[in-house]
Amino acid sequence: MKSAVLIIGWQEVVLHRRNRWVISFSVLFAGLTLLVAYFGMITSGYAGFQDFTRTSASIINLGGFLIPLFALLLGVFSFLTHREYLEILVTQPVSRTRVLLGKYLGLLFTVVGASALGFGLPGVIIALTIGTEGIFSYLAVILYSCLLAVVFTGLSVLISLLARRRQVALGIALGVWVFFELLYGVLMLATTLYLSPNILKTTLLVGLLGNPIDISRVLSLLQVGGPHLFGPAGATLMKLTGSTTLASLYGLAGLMVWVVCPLAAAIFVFRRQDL
Amino acid sequence: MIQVENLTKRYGRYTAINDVSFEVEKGEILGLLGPNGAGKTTTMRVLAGFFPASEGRARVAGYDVFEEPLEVKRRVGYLPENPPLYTEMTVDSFLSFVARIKGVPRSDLGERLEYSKECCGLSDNGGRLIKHLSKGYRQRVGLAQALIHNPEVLILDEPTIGLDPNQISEVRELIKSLGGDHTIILSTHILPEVSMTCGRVIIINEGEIVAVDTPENLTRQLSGGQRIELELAGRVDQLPTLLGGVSGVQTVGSLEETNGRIRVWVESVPGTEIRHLLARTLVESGFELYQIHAEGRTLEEVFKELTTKEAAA
Ligand SMILES: Nc1ncnc2c1ncn2[C@@H]1O[C@H](COP(=O)(O)OP(=O)(O)O)[C@@H](O)[C@H]1O
Ligand SMILES: [Mg+2]
Repeated sequence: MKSAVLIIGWQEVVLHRRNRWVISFSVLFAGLTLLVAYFGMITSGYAGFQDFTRTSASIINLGGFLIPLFALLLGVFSFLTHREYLEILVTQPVSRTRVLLGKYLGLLFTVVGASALGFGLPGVIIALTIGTEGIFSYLAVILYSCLLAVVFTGLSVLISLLARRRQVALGIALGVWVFFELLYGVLMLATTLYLSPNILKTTLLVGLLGNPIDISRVLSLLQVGGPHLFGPAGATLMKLTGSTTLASLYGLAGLMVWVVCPLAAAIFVFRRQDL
Repeated sequence: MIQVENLTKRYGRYTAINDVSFEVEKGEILGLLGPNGAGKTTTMRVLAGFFPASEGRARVAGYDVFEEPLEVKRRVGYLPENPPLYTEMTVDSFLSFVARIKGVPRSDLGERLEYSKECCGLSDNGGRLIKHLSKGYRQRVGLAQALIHNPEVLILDEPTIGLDPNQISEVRELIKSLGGDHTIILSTHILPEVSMTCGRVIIINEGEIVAVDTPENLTRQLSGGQRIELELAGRVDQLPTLLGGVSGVQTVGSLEETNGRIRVWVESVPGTEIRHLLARTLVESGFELYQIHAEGRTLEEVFKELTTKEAAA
C-alpha cells in the first residue's frame, strides 16, 4: 500500500503536466532569469550574459519573489478547483494521510520541477555561452529556491484545507505572500529599532527563522556572495556560528521546520475534517 | 452484509440524518428512496467511509465502518452522486488509476479492466477522453470504477440521474444483473426506479426512515389510496353500504365492534380527499362520529412529492 501515495502523487503530476499555468510559469520564470542574467550588469555599462557567480547573486531575489507565489497559487488552485475529486480518492482503501501525502508529493514535484526548469534552462544557456565557472553557487541557489518551493507548497495545502473555498484561500495565500515578502521585513525593522543591542542579535536570529524566504535568501547568499551581501541577520548568523557551513546548517534546520510543520498541520486537519 | 444502527449525522447543528437503522442481506438490492435533501447521499457517504457519522454504528461486509475503514473500503465500490471523474484522462487510464489505488494486483489489472468495461458497455471507449463522453457514458465510467475491484458491496448514489430514458433503462438492467453476486444499495428520488430494480425499499424523508417494504407492497399501498380509520357508534348493518356509497371510497374494511363503538377503515381512490364527505354522510345518517384518522400521512406526502418530481423530470 506504500505505493498508493506514489500512484496518487503521480496522478497529480500527470494532471498538472498539461496545465497552462505551470507551463506559463516555467516559461516566464526562465525568461526573467535570462533577462536578469543578460542585463543584470547594464548599469555598469555591460550587456551580455554574465557568468554563474554574478547571475546567481542576481536571481536570488527573483526566485525568492516568484517561487513562493507560484507554489501558493498552484497549490490552492489544484486543491480547491477539483475538490470533488477528493470524494473518489477518500473513499478508496487508502488512509486520508496517504491521500494527502500523495496529493502533496504530486504538487511538490510539479512546483519544484517548474522552478528547477525555470532556473535550469537559462543555466544551460549560460553554461554553453560563458562556461561553467561558478556553477556550484548557481546550483546552490536553485537548491535553496526549490526548498522554498517545498515550504510554500506545504503552506498552500494547509491554507486550502482551512479555507475550503477557493476565493477565500486565494485571498489568504496572497496575504501570506505579501506578509513574508514585504510586511515581515518592515515589522522586523520596526522591532529592531526599539531594541537594546544585547537582545538585538537574538531577535535578528529568531526573526530570520520566522521567515522562510529570508532563510532561503541568506542560505543562497552564504554560498554566493561576500559578507557585505549577507544583510544584518546573515551577518549576525555568520558571526555567531563562525563558519559558512555551520550557518548554513542552522538555516537548513530552520527551513526543515518550515517544511515539516505546515505539512504535519495539514495532515492533522485533513484527518479530522468533514469534506 | 450491511448493518446500520442508529446512525445520525450532523453538519454543524443541522441534522441531516437522524437515528437511521436498517440491514441489507447478502445479494439484495436495496433502494433508498426519498426527495432531494432527504439524507440519501449523507447516509451513503457514511457507509462508503467518506466521512464519519456523528452517532451510531455501521458494519459493512463484517467490518465496522469507523473502526476498520480500509477493510470496508476494500470491499465496497462507491459511485458518488454526479461522479467526479478526472475528465482529462482516458477511460482506460482513469480506470487503471483507480484499480491501482484499490490495490488490484498488476496481474489481474487487464482482466478486471476488460470485465468492468464490458459490464458497463464501455468496451469500445477505453481510449476516449472522459471529457468527450456524454453524461450517460460518464455515469458508466463511474459504475465501472466502482466495480473494478470486484467488491462485495456496491453503493450507488442516484445512478440514473441526468440520463436520458434509453440510458436509464440500460443502467437499470446493468444494476439488476449485478444483484445476487453483489449486495447493492442505490438511492433515487424516483419512485418507478425502485420498483424496477430493488427487492426492498427504504423511504427516507427529512433524515428519518418513513417506511421499509417491498416495492410491490409500497406501490399497492399507494395505488390503494389513503387508508382512513373511523371510530363511530350507530347501526352496524347499514354501515358497509353507506360507506361504500360515499364518492371516492374504493374499499371498505371489515367492522370491529367493542363496547358499542365500531371501528372500520376505508380506502380512498388515490389522490382524493374524502374525510369531510365521510364525516358529513355519517353524521347526516345519524351516526355518532368519534374519530376520523388518515393513516400513513407522511408516507403519502413523500410519495406525492416523489411522483410529482418524476412527472416533472
Ligand atoms: N456538506 C454539507 N454541509 C451542510 N449541510 C449539508 C451537507 N451535505 C448535505 N447537507 C444537507 O443535508 C441534508 C441532506 O442532504 P443529502 O444527504 O445530500 O440529501 P439527498 O442526497 O437525499 O438529496 C440536506 O438538507 C442538505 O442541504
Ligand atoms: Mg443526494
